[in-house]
Amino acid sequence: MVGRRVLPTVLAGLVLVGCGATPAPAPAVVPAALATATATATATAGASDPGDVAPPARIRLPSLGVDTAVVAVGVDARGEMAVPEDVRETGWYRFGPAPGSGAGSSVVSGHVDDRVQGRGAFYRLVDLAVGDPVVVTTAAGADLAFRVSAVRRIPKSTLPVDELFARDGPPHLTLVTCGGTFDRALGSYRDNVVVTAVSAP
Amino acid sequence: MRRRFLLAGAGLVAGLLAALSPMSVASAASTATVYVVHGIPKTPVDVYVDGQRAIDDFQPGTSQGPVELPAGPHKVAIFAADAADGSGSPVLSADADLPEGANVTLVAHLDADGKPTVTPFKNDVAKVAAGQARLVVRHTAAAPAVDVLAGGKPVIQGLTNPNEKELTVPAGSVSAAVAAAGSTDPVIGPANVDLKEGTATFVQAIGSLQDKSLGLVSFTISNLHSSPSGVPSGAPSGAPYEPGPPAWVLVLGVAGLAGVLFVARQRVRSER
Repeated sequence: MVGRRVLPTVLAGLVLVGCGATPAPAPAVVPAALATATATATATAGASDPGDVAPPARIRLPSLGVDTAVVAVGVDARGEMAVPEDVRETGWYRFGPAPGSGAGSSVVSGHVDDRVQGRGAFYRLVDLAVGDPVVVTTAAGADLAFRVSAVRRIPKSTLPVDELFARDGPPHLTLVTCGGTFDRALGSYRDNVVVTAVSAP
Repeated sequence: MRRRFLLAGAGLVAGLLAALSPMSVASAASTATVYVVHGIPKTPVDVYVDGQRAIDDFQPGTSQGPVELPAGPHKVAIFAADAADGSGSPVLSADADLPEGANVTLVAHLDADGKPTVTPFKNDVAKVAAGQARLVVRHTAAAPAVDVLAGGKPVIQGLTNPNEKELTVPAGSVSAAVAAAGSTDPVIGPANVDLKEGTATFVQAIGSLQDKSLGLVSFTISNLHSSPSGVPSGAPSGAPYEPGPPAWVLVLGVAGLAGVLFVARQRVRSER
């Protein structure tokens, strides 16, 4: 009789501890690589050259119910695009054109998800359809309207980076996250999801 | 003016490139790209190419370019700006061939002993890694060996006239100065230099230490950027989001359950 009463109480306690403890590993698990990336971005903050176009501050994907902050990012220690550590934020590649510039690809990237932090801002990016609206709000408060013109899933090994990060050619917006299967040995996804959007005033 | 300069530069480059180590022939275009730096203090000059005046009254401490010049042989002569046109003895002259596709800087400057000379430099216009900038420093001043300081610390050491050294650094603003080799006491600067991503900045130290006329002439070549190598927008912790409790919670749960059952059983037993 006593045993029956004790059992459910203690089990409930275990589950609570489990949920509560989930975020705890974050400081240990989010390690040096990201810290380095952040430091690099900070050190080079003065180099941003968006011309006379204000940098992006927010991005909205109304069809997915996404409305998230955009921060300026550079490259990480491995020479890849730096992506904000907080998966709820997205990062604009500040060495390339800002959305609304006259030429080239404005790249905004966000994490798809994370075991510790949960779903990222671009968790459902792959669900965007051609024609869906994208709205970028600049730091100056202007809303720039775009429409999705392509949604692609590309293996990371063949990602056409010179196309994604082109600084010339017709102006467009490129949204990037990860997708495909997760390679546990590499600790990363195999593919990138790449969404192209063009101005739709 | 621009067209005439074009011709002039061609000849000058041609003459001077003879002394250069083999230049890479970068393209099939029959032109080369040329910058000209005037680093001889107090001496405005006129530059003549193949007998015709190409740059009139070229002021010290300034640069001109870039200009695309036809490849091929030319005769170049530099006269003091106040000399009668094309007559008398030139201050400097040169005679040689300009390779196709070359990108060069011609620096008219003082040698280490203070005598006027012209030195051609090949401009490194290779792509720069994403997020980085290239800085090239040229010692073309009448001065002994120098160190280049960034933020007060030497980043280039023992640079002598007429040589150059290059660095690749994270893009951004840097406080740069030039000091006598082995010293951190600036003889030029410090000055803030904005090194933009994907560019190469060429800085020429000019003038004379003895005459207190040291200075810098710089220009920047853009569009040398590279793309980042990828977009690591997956799980920053190294594992993806998994709805439900993570595996270790389940393991703990099972272990805890076993413990609880054991304790409960012990209790029941002791109550008996």
